Amino acid sequence: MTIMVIATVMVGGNSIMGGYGSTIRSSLGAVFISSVDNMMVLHGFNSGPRVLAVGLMIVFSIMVFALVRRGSRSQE
Amino acid sequence: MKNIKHWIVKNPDLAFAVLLAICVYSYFALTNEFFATHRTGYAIMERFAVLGLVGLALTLCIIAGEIDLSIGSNAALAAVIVVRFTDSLGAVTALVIAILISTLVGAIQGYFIAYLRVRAIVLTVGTLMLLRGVALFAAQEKTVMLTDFRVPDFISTKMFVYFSPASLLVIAMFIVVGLFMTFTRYGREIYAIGGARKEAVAAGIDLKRPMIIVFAISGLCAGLGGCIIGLRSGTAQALGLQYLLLAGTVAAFIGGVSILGGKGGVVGAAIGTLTVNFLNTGLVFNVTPAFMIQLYLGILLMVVIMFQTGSRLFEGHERRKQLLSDVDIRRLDLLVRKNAFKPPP
Repeated sequence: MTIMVIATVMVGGNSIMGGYGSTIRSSLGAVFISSVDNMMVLHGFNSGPRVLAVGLMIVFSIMVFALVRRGSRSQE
Repeated sequence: MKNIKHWIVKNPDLAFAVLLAICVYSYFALTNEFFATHRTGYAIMERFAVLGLVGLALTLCIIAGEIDLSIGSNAALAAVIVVRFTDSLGAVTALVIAILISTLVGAIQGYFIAYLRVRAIVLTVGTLMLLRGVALFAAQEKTVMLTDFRVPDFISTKMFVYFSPASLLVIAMFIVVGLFMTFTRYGREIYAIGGARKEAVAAGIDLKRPMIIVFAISGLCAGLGGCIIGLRSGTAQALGLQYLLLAGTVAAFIGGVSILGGKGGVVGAAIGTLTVNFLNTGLVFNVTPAFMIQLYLGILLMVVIMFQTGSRLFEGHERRKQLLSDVDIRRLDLLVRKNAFKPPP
């Protein structure tokens, strides 16, 4: 449960170091994760692919956010 | 005697961990006549085999100023792989495959953490879920089981009274990692990026190399721990082993590692794990309910943290006092010279 909460906050693109982020981002992250998970349930996937897909999404969004943030910092 | 005193002053956290371990052990040895026997010693070492590995992995991560949350998932993945392939490929091949996979996973994590410059906690939350999913795939969402039970028997054979092949392997691992951390340049780099990352990077350390090494060792330890659990019990579940992360963190903190990074060591990890195991085993011997064990563990952790905070404050206080007295001495010198100098009338 705790892990899922941290995951939603991360997917929303908040910074773990603090000083950057918002509650709207976190709630959008939660909506994103739960809607994808729900959709996969409706399409009849088992728990293995579902956990895998959620994990992939988290890793992917973390990477995208990190790259985007790094790019914006280098332009300053 | 003087050497011992010097060592204690130099490593107060480690000395306190040793003291705590001795206190816990002697308390149970005095209150329970069965505690100080070699059978209990063997049981403690068997627990040490798994928990010690995880404690070691987390100690290294915390020394580097990061934390590896994916350790439980990585262990579960390794356990599933090794149990599934032991029957068809033989135990040694399956073990090598499982450990290679988990080490590789760890190294890739380390690479991405250094490349993306994110905190490890961010990325490992993702890989925690990801590896869980991979483990579910590998196990086909069932509990996998061994059919040939010679391997579990071999792993728990008694050797030299206290040890089994598993715990001997883990002790060897501790020694190798300890030597690596103390005597090689790569080990010192890990301390450097944990204690003062900006300064270390400014001094020319490439962040990628120590990060990859730390997470590869962490993956290796997690994989080995998972394999030992899987092969010892003969079964593996893709959703199991979640408790490893917290248990290992507690062991690492009791061993005197600092959450701020750069402090602590492999010896501390071993002693911390042993203390936790003494406490767990001793309380079970005294027929304590499970929730009370958690309570005592929490109290132990609080004591350690209070001691660490106290010793930091004391150290800062002493340093300030030293500094002030140095300043006074210098001023005294000036004053004397001023008084000695009499301007000619």
